[in-house]
Amino acid sequence: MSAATAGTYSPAAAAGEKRRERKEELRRHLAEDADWPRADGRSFHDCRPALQLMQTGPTTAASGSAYAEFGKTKVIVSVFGPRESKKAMLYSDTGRLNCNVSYTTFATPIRGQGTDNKEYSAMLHKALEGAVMLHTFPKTTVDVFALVLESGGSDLPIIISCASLALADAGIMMYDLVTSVSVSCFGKNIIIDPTSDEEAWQDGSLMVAYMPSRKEITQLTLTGEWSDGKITNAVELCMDACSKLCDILREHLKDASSLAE
Amino acid sequence: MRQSAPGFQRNGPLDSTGLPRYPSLRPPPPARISIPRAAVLSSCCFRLRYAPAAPSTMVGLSEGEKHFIRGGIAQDLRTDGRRRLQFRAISVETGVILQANGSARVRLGATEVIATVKAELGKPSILHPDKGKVSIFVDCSPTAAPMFEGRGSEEFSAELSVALQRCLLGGKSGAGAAIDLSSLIVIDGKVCWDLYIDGLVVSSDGNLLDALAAAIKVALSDTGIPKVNVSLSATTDEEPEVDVSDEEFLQFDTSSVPVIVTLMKVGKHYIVDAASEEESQMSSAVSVSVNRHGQICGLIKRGGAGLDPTVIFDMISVAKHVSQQFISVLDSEILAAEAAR
Repeated sequence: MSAATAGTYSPAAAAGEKRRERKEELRRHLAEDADWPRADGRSFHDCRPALQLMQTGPTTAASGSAYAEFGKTKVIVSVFGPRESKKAMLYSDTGRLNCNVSYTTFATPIRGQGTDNKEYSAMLHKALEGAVMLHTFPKTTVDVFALVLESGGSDLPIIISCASLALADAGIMMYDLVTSVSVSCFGKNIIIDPTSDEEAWQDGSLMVAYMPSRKEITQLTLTGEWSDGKITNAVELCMDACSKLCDILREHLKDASSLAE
Repeated sequence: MRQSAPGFQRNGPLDSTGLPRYPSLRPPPPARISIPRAAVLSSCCFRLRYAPAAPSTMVGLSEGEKHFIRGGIAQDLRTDGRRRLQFRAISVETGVILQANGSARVRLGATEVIATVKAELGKPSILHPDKGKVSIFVDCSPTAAPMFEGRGSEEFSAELSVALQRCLLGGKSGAGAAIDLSSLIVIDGKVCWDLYIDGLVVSSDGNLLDALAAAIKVALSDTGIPKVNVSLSATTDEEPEVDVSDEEFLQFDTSSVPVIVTLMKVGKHYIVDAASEEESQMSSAVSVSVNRHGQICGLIKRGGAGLDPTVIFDMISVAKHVSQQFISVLDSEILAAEAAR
């Protein structure tokens, strides 16, 4: 049986082997209890660069759209509407926000793995719900469709930030831009904006979606074992990164609108 | 093999149904203030939807009733006589489903849930050859409420399942997990136990997440995993033969299984264990999963409105405090339930 499998190439097994090697390396670093160089050369508290790689208007048919590329993670979000709600929906004097997150089949190392993240649609909805002025478009629906072209870690925070840029591009009224950043925890170290390798072996993760001007957290999720002090540190780190990311988005929107004129 | 406490006496006062009361619960007020149960018909497709527990009048709350609930919470006297940080009476029963490896029924006021644990032999995943697998599913039966029929229940069940997975299964490396996944391995890379944890909502009167997490904790403490004897053949590539014992069972170490405490923010105050009428008045809620050592094992924010960071930190510390009381009450209930069997 082993002879038969040796002849065929199995990407899943090969990827598994490689990841295990990287895991061993990470465990060694953790055992040494020292800082280690991250695979992409960042320090623990460096996010991947966002400046040049967030664009508005990649899809022309949509009311607004945005594209974001953070390292390997590539996300495209289109916003349609406000348009008439489906007939089956009950009357509502506030607008509806309909969110959908999907993965391309080639987004993950093993084909079609993106379907594991079914809850992302609901999470995106919750992160944005508190920011959109739903009462400004009664009886209608705004559709937010996100597509992950390639998954390279921190997918959901990037989807959320990109979706709020797309909403702004579509001219949907919002209280503030929502930006989101996640951190991974390894032992006592906190690593911001983790890649998928780092996410695969993390001890815990924490994601914050934040409205910097209103100083409000719209979504906060946490897994793994955390002490009180560590949560406070991690949330503050995320909020700081969110504010900086928000400034970048704001600059970008200003540039885009001045170009349009 | 089951753990039991032979000399254990239930020393708590018993209420009229013969069930032990939650110790910190004050005696109920002489006349219960009755409020028509409310159906909260939310237009938004992802918002929490809770349905009335009894098939009584399906009406929303009137302005007066809303005001009454909010005013009561502000004065630390809720409509059913509880204080803001007080749970309803909890009752626990183990071994209710004999087909499962472990099961429990938990009642929290009028909310009733069943959790079962089934273990099956499976194959570990390629990426984690040294770990077993645990999956959690929740089903909201339409017998509990008409709202749970069709698509509405799917979204709601999925939301509960995801919240439980986040709060109980810990980080990717296994830190903070309720169950040590490496304890489920039988042969490295070949055979492991797959645990299927299923929750069922029998009757719904708010605070389903906390009740489900408590039921899962009790069901895990009731779970016996059959002992497996492995006869390894000479060549390691061949499928190993496993012999599952039907007499010897192994118990789980459930001391690290966290409980979930959901704090709802109504006005300026937080309440625990909200009934469905109270849930309709929340602006936002934070569900925190805390283990015996006071470590936070998971957290999820619910409800659309944004929260100030300092409020969230405050809610976490309150939840941590309340959870320690809840854990000790649950532990004594588990012992009582084991003794009663």
